[in-house]
Amino acid sequence: MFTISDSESDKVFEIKGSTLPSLVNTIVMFFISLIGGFFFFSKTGIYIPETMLILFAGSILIFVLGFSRILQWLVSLGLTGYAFYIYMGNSMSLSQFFLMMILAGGILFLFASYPVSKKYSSMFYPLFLLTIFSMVGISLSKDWIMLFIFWELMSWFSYMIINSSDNAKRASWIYLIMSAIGGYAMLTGIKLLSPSVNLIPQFSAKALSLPILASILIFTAFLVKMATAPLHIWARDAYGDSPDAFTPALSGILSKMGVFGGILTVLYLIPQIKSSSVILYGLGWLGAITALFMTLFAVFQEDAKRVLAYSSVGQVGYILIGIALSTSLGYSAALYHTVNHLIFKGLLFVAIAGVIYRAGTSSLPALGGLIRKMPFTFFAFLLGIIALAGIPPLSGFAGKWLLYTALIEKGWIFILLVAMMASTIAFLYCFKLLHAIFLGQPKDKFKDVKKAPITINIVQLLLAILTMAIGAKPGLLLDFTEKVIKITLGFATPGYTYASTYKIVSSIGYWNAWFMMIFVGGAFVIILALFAINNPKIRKVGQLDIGYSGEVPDSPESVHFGYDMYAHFRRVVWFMIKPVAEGIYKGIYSTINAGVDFLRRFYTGDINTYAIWVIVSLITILYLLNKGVF
Amino acid sequence: MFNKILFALIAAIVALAYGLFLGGLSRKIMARLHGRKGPTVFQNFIDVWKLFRKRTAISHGVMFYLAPTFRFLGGVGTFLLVPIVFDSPYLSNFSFGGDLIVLIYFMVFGCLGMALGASESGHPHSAIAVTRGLSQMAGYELPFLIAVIGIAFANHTITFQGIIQAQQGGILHWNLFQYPFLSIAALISMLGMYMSYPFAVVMAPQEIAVGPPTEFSSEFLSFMFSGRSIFAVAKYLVFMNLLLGGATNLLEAFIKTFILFLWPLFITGVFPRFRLEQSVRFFWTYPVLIGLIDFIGIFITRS
Repeated sequence: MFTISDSESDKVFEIKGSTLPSLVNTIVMFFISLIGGFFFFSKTGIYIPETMLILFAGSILIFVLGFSRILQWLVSLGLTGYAFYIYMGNSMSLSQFFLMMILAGGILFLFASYPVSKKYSSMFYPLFLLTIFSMVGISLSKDWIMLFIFWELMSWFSYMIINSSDNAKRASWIYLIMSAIGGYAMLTGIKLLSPSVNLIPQFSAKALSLPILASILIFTAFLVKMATAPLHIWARDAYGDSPDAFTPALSGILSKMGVFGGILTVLYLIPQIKSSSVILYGLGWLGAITALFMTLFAVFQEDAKRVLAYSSVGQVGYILIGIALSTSLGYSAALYHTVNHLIFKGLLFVAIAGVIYRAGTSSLPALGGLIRKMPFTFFAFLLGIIALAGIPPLSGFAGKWLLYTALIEKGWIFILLVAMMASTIAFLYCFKLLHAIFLGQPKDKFKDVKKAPITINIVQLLLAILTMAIGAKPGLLLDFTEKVIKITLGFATPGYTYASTYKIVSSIGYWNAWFMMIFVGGAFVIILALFAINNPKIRKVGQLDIGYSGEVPDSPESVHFGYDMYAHFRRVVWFMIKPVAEGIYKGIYSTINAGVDFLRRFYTGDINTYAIWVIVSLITILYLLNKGVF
Repeated sequence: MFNKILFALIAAIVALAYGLFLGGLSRKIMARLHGRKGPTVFQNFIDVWKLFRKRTAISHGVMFYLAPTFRFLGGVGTFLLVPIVFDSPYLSNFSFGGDLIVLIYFMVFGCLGMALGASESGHPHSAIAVTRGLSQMAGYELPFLIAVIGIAFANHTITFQGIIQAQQGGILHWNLFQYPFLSIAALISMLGMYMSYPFAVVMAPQEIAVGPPTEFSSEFLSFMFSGRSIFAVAKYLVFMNLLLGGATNLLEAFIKTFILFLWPLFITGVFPRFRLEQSVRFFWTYPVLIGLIDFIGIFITRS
């Protein structure tokens, strides 16, 4: 491990010009100060999640000892599993809900990461663990300062892990800058919350100074992580270029930290503002616009991970609408969709990781016909897509139903219209993903592609079972969200009732999940069996045996439809998919550049110029002193 | 419960027959418009029966089986979620299974299966047809959603029972006359839903003998055909319940759905085809602007 001299390991560990020794020094010093700080704080009586220390120490250990990759994998799994075991029994409050989600998701995605992670630097697992544990810290924090500290840790660790991918230098840099903007905004907001220097602002504290600006600033940090509309520019490349084994966690749990913070803000800060309903309505629109535009962007991406990246951001837009509703049904929808999005988007990203591991690319025009090579991956992917599209009877539908019902109850029908429209357009990219990766014509170069690694298949199987089980009986998940809504959010009911075990009734409609599942499942089996029995002599034909206008196509490339699949749709929505936000940021960037260029005229780097400045300043100060200005 | 299931099954079979009959009738009417004699109105029955008795020789893979399954299931399932006769204990189908939101999402189920099966055949034109279909769906869904959300919000319910209940007590209580602009938007979106001319470019790859039905044959095709017929009847029923006040007996249901069947048919007869982007642009402008008149009115008065 510490034979650093060979140039290859230097290259692997290189992060923005620094090589391994300096990195080790930095990290070790950082942890020593961190642990020292924890002990110091614990003396002063500030709440610290104690197990965090062990976990941090553990992550350092696997780094320092230089285990082999498989051992690192096992130790990471063990540590996360241990954390899950420790926190499992607590009552289901908001932080417990997110804690369980982080750790369960962390275990699943760590488990799926093994063979894929071999191509990343040996920092992969320590950084993955550190990201998970900083998220645990966020969900366990009891005041805004602690939240901020762990928030920054999370941003840094996730930045480093995204950066460890070869082609993600620019993406991770944008991610870091956006995270920094969020972090500074949050710190300023927290400072504004606190009336005196010594008082640490608790979550539920009242009597704030400048709450409107403070809550907007704090919310900005969370919106950056959720990547809502004007702050989304980091998302596409950061998701697309990050290590494949980490992307599920980035989408499934890391973006949900923004949801956690958003709920905290809506719960504790925004109600203290006079015009809170206007702000919440604005937030609802922000969510709806995010959902619509990100869905449109997703339709026109040509890379599977980038499609799913925009899709993730759009789905988090739905969650934001649910939070902004701030009714019990809205919170139900938001919390349900938070976990559900983890399930199906985790499933999809893990599947893509398997595809990239075997086929070597996630570019949609390059792939095709992988259903014959990876049948299991395909069927799990199909279930994930059905859940993502929100088609009953799988789990995705419940989130949509709860959200739409909540929107009608609240009377936000324009937002409802935009949200439903976005989910209709989402069908376009859902089909695009299925077709371009798994269906259509397989290329010759993918003739020898093997099945996805077994760890990935196991995780897919688990998540597919989950999405079916929750689809048949949403109570499995809604029981937890109901507890959160009653315990932390302080509502008497979750906004809906169970008429029987499986039938959910709101004030304006109802929906029987179990019936839908039984009906679809039953009819499915009957018709399939009929086909199988009736057609015993069926013959499977080769891939190019198609009725192609009387001709015989000679190569799969000539008949695979996988590039720019929605050209006709682009001609309708071209004005909506212009990268306006990126243009604005580029404008800001070039303005700052021009300003700095102007300053360069005064800071020429020539000692003589500086001498003149010193003399001029001295004379000015002396003159002003003489006049009695100071 | 057993009776309900039995009646729902009978209703599904009647709907299948009715759908096939309407399909045959539309072929006949179109033929007469073209100056041809045309097939008999029972041609679709003959086709389905003939296809059903044939066996398939080739398969492109597993999804190839799933496509007709999904399609048939999507059609029957959608039909079973819609009540036929208001307040009838037997002819309400399984509408206890879900409300309008469930229905809107379940309607996609069949299209999804169709898309998958057609894609697995590896035929590029199948995928082109599917992307066109999906884009067109994104087009007509906006006016349809405006109508559905507007009606649901005005009556403060998303159940069929509630919406039909609110329309009882005379023809002027129908949503068609209560909210005429919403109804116009819905009826225009219905044209896109039935892929009638001028919004028929989705069907084009099938006509040059390469689309999904070319790759499917025999029993598979008969299931897809049946599913499509039932799906068509289900959508007539949806529009009947949304706009025309539902039905209090079977005869009323037949008459109202027949009137709804004539509407896209007569538009079909006299138009050429739009390009796909023209269709989507059309759906996103005129019907939306018309529908928004009522939508904004409902928003202002009810909230």
